[in-house]
Amino acid sequence: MPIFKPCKIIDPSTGKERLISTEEQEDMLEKGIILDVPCQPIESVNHPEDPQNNQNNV
Amino acid sequence: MSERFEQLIIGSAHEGSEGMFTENPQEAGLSGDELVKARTERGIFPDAQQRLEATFEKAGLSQNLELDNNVTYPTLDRWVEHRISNKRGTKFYPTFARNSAGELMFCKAQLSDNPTALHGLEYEAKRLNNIPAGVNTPRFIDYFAPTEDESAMLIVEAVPWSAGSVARAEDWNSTHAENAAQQIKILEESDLNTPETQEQTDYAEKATTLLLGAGNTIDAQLKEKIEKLLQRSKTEITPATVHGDACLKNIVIGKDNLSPVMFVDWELGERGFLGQDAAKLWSDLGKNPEVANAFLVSYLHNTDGTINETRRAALSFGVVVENLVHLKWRNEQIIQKGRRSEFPNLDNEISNLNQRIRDIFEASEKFQ
Repeated sequence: MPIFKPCKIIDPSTGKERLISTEEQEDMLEKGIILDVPCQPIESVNHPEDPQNNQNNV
Repeated sequence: MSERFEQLIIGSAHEGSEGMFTENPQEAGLSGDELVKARTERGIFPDAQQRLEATFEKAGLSQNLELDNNVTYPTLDRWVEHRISNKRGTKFYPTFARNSAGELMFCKAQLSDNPTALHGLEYEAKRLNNIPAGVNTPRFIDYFAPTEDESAMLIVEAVPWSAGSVARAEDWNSTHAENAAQQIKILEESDLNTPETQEQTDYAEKATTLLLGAGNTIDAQLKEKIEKLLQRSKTEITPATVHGDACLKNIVIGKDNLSPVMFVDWELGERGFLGQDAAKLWSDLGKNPEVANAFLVSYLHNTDGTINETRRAALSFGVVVENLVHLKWRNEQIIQKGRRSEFPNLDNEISNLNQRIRDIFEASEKFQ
């Protein structure tokens, strides 16, 4: 079972919804960045194939 | 040859896309027994969870795993299992906790007796507790040294994602780059007065050894140019205070694009050399040429508008050294061991590494 699930958030910098990948969540955890905005796990989202997937995954 | 020096130079790049030092990054799907064996092989404390709890109690903190935004952070054991299954490092356990006032903090807890990992936590604590004004980092809260029953733990303020996050080069702008350059300069010019920054290291000599190790992977014409730089570097490349791994993954940019960038993850903040951080960040910004150039302009210029020749040499030296580490590895671990057939992209990679060195010479030389 994965430790994180992809989830959708409203990005405060753009005001737009985007998907946060599990890798990005893991990177953030390692750096002490806490995901402090409402997240919607991907299972409950109608369209998981978001083109913005991994947009910010470095 | 100093392998530690090479590790410090490449920082976290060994976990990057080049896959140099991670030959099998696939998920292993370990059984229970295999996991126990892997934990033992890595030296993870069997009672790591208890040690963590003991340290939290001493620190007056409560671990915060469940957030009210549907995100659950992994427990220590789950984190270790995940990292082992993915063949990733288990240097420390990252987690969040709250103090009695409800303030959220980020904690890095020791997982094993691995001296390098413990060293990293100690250095990070030392650096964050003594950072010069003008360099933006998470606020240092506390550091607990290990005891027989407790893990070492570094505690710093948590960075809220709504305020800023790490980003790709394409998401950086010139203001971020200029700000990062200014902070790197402040750091380099600071004197943290710690024993390791006072130690004299002949960086030019280390680079010469790398150049020899790179063998024929380095283009002959380029080699001549590097040799000239190294000759000059004997006097100009001095020890300096560095972040040690100033790549994009370790720099938080503000969501409002106006806040100063924040350098996080200081575990490689040992002694370094002038230009080391600037070289790494300039290389990482390469996918965004306009921003990389803004960084270069800011880093190379003095406040009176003149070019700082020492920094120019240092930046080139940093890029050269970083790429020489990669070339040397390819020469010694692949070519000399007759393993070319296992690495079909080898020639392209070598060509790209040579090109990166050409790029920094060209980019820095255009300023007169």
